[in-house]
Amino acid sequence: MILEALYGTLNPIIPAHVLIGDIEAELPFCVFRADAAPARQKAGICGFEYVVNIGVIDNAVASVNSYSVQVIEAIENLKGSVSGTDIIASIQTDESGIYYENENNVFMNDLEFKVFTKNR
Amino acid sequence: MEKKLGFDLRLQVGSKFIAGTTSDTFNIEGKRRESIMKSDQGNKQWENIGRAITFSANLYVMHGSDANNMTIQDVRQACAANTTGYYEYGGDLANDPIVTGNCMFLSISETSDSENFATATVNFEELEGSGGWGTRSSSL
Repeated sequence: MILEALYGTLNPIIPAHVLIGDIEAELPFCVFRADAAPARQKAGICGFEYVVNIGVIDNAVASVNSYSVQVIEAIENLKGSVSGTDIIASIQTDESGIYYENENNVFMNDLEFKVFTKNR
Repeated sequence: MEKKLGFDLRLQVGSKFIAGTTSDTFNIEGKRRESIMKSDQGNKQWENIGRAITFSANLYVMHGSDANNMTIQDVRQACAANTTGYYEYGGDLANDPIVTGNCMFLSISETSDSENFATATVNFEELEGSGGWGTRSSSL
């Protein structure tokens, strides 16, 4: 499934957590989620278009930038069968740019990708 | 009576569907002949002289092939050659009303950008006087 594929890709770069609520984690880390939109033809579902959001978080701008570059490269190279998900292509579609989040005293970068898959 | 879901209405050309179809547009227009005659006291009269049917299918550009569907390459070649073929348009189930006839592939327009699945629109025109009204004999 897609979350396993993303976890397996992200976690070797930076500790990764699925975004399902408040998270307490040691810096650096990233949180991610994947929203599915089925590609439906009249004969039925022929694929999925996931919008994947990844937040890269650390206490230094340079570090967040370095992790962001690695994450973007890894996700854009996601292709083929990964953890049971048959991935057609992955592309980056948006990026917030690095910003300071003063409540938690961290720097963050929000990345957005589209991941096209044949199955879940 | 009940509403019909869009995916239960399908266009079939020959023995195959068009792979990846997401929506169809089906247009029927009665053809009229206008006359103004003395016997009608100069009032315009109209007579129906047939029908004009045009239709189009929007689809994902699909790779690969299977026995039930025309591939994108089949459709491209059919449009380039203005291939003709039998068509059925209507419901999927037995006894659903369908429109039938022979049609010509007119054109295909493909759209491919850098962020989405590639799509295409295929346009058809019924060959004049070739068709009729019927019901589907068995469910698809």
